[in-house]
Amino acid sequence: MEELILKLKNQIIDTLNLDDKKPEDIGDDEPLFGDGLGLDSIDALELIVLMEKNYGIKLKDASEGKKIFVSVRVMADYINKNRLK
Amino acid sequence: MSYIENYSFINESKRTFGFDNNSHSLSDKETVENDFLTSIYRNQNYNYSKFFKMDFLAKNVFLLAENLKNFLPENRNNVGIVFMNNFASFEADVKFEKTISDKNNYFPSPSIFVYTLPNISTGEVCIRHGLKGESSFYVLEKFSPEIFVNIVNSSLIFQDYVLSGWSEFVNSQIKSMMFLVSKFPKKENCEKFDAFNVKKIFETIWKN
Amino acid sequence: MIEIVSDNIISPLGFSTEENFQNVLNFKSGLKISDGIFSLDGNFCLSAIDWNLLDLEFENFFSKRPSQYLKLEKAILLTVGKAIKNIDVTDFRTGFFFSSTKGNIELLDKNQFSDSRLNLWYTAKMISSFFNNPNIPIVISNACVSGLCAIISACRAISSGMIDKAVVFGGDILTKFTLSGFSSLKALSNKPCRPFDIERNGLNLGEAVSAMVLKKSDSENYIAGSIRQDAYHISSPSKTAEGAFNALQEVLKNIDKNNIAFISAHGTATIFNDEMEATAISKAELSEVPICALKGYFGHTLGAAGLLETILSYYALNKGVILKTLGFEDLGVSKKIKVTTKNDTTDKQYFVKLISGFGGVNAAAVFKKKN
Repeated sequence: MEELILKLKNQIIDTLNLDDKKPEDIGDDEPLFGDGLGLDSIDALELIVLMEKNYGIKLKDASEGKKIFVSVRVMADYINKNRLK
Repeated sequence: MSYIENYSFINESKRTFGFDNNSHSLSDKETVENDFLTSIYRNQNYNYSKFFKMDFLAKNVFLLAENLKNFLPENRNNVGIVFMNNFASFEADVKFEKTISDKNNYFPSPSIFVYTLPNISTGEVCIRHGLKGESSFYVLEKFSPEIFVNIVNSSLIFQDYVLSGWSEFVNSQIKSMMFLVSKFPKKENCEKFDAFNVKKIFETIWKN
Repeated sequence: MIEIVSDNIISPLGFSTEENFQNVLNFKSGLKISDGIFSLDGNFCLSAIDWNLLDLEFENFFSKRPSQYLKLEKAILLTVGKAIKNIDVTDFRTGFFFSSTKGNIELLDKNQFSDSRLNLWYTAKMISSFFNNPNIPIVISNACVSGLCAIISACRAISSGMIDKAVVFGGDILTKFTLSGFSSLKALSNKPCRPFDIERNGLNLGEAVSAMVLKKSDSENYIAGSIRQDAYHISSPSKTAEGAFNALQEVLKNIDKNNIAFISAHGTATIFNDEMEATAISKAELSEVPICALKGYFGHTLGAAGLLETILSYYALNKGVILKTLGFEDLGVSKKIKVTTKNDTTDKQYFVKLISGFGGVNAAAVFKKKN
């Protein structure tokens, strides 16, 4: 799980162009949206692409994503349970 | 009547950027992986993480405006931006195409797609500086001082200040400039914003 | 003062403004569900031009086949040709203004990365020189607002004395590029769109081209135009409808609101756009003015939208008609606005065009009936 969390952080940084962040800057339980990392609606859509591209998980829309993209740990947990790749 | 309050520029072939008579030069060492625009960002220690999400054009326009930010008036409700280039959003277009061209690896990227409209670059500047005037984007083959001045002056009728600029790719390198044009000059010896003066500045920046 | 001399619309609903209007009057829509277009999986609800019909129409009009032209090129040549008719556009006092968001972007899919026709200025030049105009054409690429911005730019150029006449033209075609992009933004509905409706769930893309000729005149059909920024987000509209409201306020400065026949809204049928527009309209104290949105007939035609919808609305105004908003049934925005549920008659003099686009751009313009 820890390995997945680290891998996921790197993928998030890469996909969302968070150039001035490193994995250690993102807390496992830090909110991704709102106050924490401050991601926005386009980032949410890009994370939906990330889920499908890297893990074969197809999310229907942004609102389904909202429940999963709470924090890196919640994301990793969901991926563990639902991944096809 | 309209006036040039200040202007900024980026000339990749000369490795220079700056505003008015202040020109910075970037050495080889200071140039990040063939990415001149990011090199400017780092060199100036800017702090706007959204920069890294932007496409080439948006970074270009952002940096030109950043160099003029200290000259913007406090009230931004009547400050707009009119920008022109000769390549629209080509770099973003090609990048987005790559995310859809392979049927077996078809993953259209929303964050790249949003930049496949050249006016997103001007939108980013408006968000950054709270500019609520007009924002417009034009695409022309070559720089024309007359057309540039006419269009900007027409826009200025409806606001007090306009950031106006031009950008082009010459031998895969960026050359660009931006003017802060106003109806009511702050300084005493502001040059008039007309085709003659714009051409003069353009030629100074562009000559190799 | 500026007069609208002539115009043309080419869309799935016809090859003339009148033909398009008649079809809209009879609630015909260009929207159709297609299964697997551009080799993409899934259903898309789109409004697509019949290109075989267009080729025939082109040959009919120009007495030659359009074989050398790309889709957008031949469509635009045809719409400009029809709009210009016998008007002389070969002089230096006539300007050409081109609106498009993606132009010939389909060339990228064919791996033609260095094709000059990818440049919007190249397309504009090709059109203006085809009609022997000697000036550099002005290309406006300001997202979905481009069409209305092109009209505004042309009118500014006439007002400033630079030119006496303007040909404003533009459009966009359906491409894998645009479809993929909007799909990735989850902005599309796979059913006919529902502007301002409580069940709305996204937009439909459409293709169309249109053209308008304007001239300096004693008649006044273009009254005012304004382009304003939200300064909020690059793809979501301002929650307070900042730019749209400011644009409306500016153009309505000297207009009697009781003499506005209708507002031709953007009405893309996305949750956020329609809510934002309703906010702008309500803030501008226009809640009693009928609102008509045309995307239920044409889909969202991007670079054509501002121009096409203005032309059709202007035609309707002159016919004394307020058109029904196809797809709308029950109000689904938080402000009480009057979205049209049927065709109606009017003898009022003005209509307002309102439009917004990615990048926080908003524009509004007021037009007046012919004398």
